Amino acid sequence: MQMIDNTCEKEYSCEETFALLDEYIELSLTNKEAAALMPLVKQHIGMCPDCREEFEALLLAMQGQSPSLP
Amino acid sequence: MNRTNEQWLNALQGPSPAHDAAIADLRQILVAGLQRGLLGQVNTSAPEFESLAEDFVQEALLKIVDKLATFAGRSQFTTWAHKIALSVALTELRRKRWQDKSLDGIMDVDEGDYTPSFAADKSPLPHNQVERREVMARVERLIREELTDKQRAALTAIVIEERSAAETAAMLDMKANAVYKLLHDARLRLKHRLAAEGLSSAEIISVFS
Repeated sequence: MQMIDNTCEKEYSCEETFALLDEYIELSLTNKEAAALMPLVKQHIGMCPDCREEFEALLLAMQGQSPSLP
Repeated sequence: MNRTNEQWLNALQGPSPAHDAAIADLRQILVAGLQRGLLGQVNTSAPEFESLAEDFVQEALLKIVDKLATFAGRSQFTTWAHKIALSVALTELRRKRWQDKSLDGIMDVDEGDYTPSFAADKSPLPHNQVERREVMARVERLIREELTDKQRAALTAIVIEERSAAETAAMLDMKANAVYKLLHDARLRLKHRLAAEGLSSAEIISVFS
């Protein structure tokens, strides 16, 4: 039911989200307001289990490298 | 091993000693990334993982070199490369999870809960049972009336049975990327219909809480 509540008229597709995922991850890791800057990416990740899985895996992969991020 | 984005792009663009060195370094970086990123997906300390990761990275390297021109430079090159490697790995793991049981020994497979979370029966009180049945019947009717057969099948597969988009796409003979659009349309239709019927999701959830 929460998913229905959170449904928006305009949502990113999986391809649109994937294209921005690296940028979104770096914003997340550098404490910038990733969700505020890229709300449609955040919304898609909340709705799509496969893309959420890829986001979480990329976050884990990058966390070991975060000190070198800008 | 530290390179700027420009150095990565220059090194990977054509056959040269720098190209070979960059490929070798990137391979190492991506294998390490898979080890961190796939924690919880597979047993990354299992002996089989090394060759599995090598296969994923080999496929990812081909894609990365092929897609170099699409790298927009809005992130570090290695972040972009990790994204592609993990996508290759997760896509293949999802496929294997439902097509090929040969990896069962190193895969963490959840038992899965086939009851929608909002409808999970947590010791219902007798006076609630009638109300629950009525609300469920109403929601089921809306789903039946509002959604196409394909939308219902996708909704059941993804939300109730917790299948991946790739698996659902194979079941429905459609592309994985189209499954999200199908579900988005379904969610939107249900949202509008619930509003038209004066039903809020909060009300529905409260009946089951």
